[in-house]
Amino acid sequence: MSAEDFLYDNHVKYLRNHLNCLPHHYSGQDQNRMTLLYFVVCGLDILGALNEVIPQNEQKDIIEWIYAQQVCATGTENLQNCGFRGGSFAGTCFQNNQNHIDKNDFGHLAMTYTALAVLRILGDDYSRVDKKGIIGALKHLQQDDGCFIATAGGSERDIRFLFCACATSCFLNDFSGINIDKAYQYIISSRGYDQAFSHGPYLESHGGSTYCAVSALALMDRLQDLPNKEELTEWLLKRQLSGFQGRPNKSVDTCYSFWVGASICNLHAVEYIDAEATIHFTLACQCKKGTAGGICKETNTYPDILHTFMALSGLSLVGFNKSQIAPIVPSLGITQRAAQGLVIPK
Amino acid sequence: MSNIYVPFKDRSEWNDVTPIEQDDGPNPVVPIAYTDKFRDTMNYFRAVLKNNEISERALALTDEVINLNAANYTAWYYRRDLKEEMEYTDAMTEENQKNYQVWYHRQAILEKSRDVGSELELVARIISEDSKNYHAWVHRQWVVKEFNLWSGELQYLDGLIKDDVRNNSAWNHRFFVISHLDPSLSDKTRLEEIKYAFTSINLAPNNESPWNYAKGVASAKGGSDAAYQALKEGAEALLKRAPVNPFGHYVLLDCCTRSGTNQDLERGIVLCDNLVKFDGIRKKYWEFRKQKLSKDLAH
Repeated sequence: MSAEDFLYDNHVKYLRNHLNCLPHHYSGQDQNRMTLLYFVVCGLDILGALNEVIPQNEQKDIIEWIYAQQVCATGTENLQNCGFRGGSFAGTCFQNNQNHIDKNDFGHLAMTYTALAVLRILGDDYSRVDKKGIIGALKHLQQDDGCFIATAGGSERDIRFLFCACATSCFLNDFSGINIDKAYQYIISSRGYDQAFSHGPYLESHGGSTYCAVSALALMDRLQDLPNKEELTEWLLKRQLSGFQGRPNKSVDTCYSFWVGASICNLHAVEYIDAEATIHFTLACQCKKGTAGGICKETNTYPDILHTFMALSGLSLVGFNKSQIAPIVPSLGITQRAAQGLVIPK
Repeated sequence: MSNIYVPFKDRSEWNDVTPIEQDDGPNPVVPIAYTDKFRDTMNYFRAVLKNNEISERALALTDEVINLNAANYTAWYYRRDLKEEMEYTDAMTEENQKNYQVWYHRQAILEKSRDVGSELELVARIISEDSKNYHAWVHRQWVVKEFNLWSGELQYLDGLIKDDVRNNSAWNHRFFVISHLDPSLSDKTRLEEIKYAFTSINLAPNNESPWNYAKGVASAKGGSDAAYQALKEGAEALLKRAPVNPFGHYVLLDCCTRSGTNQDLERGIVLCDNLVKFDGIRKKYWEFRKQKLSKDLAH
């Protein structure tokens, strides 16, 4: 398989169409629309098609929609609620949505991370972001053990939100909302007997949690302190069967080309990935029904925007088809172009 | 819960409520093509939220919302305010086994009620349907630890591992339990566990999980020479029977690298050469490891 087998035009069209309308089976992600937006916009940026298929006025509309999801501080009363919502599902008004305090209305760390990512991709200068509010919220959301919960309303706590807190701090160029030593300790406590990382102490090592751990360490500039990096790198490399699996004895899945691939890149070992094998697997997972586009989780299934985005990111990491796929920053999940100007530890 | 859907405007008990449409602004992005039922239910849910209504009908409404979208964390949050319940959550857990909110909700309720009931049986039932369900294992660990229910775990795991030796989640859970039973990991425990792992390896050598487990038990908490010795012997014996087994090579290579004697380093180089041949997808990596060993040998 080669660059000619890459269905560039179809994927651009697929992502563009999803910006206009998501089929009803995405209803189960009604509260995560910000993240879905991120997959679409960042995917188009990786394909270098952003300005070509989203005209300037429409990019402005996207920015307005994102700001309409912001929960801002009103004094200190709701500081822990600050951040971005995933959408307007809970009944907030599009206009004047920042003037009322509602105990059911809180930002969510994953949505804050992806909102800031999309704003940055679209060239917004963050002048309307309530930076103080978000940094203040991070202090509330970090728990005694160093981990983060996602929302002030209470949620599961795990390493995903610790990563979101680090990415958010990186975007805002302000880590004062995170107790870095405690966060480091939590990450170390989430390391398994196989030297990879899980959601928390003694849980099963997983490609997704390992991505969150390694990227968080990279963003906090603490990766150099991590012991046994060779064993961790080896565990990650052993996840490659053709594409990558997320755990031992599980099937390959295109999303792990990103989660595992990006972790390997962060550990400076990308040259040991069998690029040809992962490219071959990913291209075989492209949807070939007509010109529909999109990339599936595995062969012979249906595409979705998460796997399309992750698969494109995975192709980018191994340098496939550089004329059509832009390089990304592994620890942040945005293109190098969009990350220009950010302080990202090497 | 009735299967026939009646629009809210045709339900007399709701006629005092004005539904609130989602206000997505003039130019919505990634809009979802909701079904009419989804839209209608959410419109009334938004109204209830706005009014902060605490009532039986509000509780019933969150049920409908969660049935349409079990990931709606606002509905779950609201529900915790309304009522603490377990039976409802049981049913929803069985229907939404891969959903973060429902598992978190269970935990929040158990923390409050402190009534663990037959929680481990429910989790076991879900694990029996998907033995690698991450959420279920996370929850099981939490319940075992929170309610001090360690006694039956090893026996339960033994059954699961016998059913499927490739169940990595079960091997991981075993490590969790062993680390509780013997926090310092004595040599006795390490040797017993390595023996247990090799019983499984000898039945199915091409299975990464027990190899990782055995190595993990040997290396955890600073490692133990006696355990590494047992690991090495087990790997050597297996490779005599199955000379092209990559996992045996991985483990033996680690043992050789750790020991660092010239003899072992030379052995390591041969192992890398073998891996270059039959673990081709990681060819470049094994070449790199070989180079490193050669350098160490020269010093």
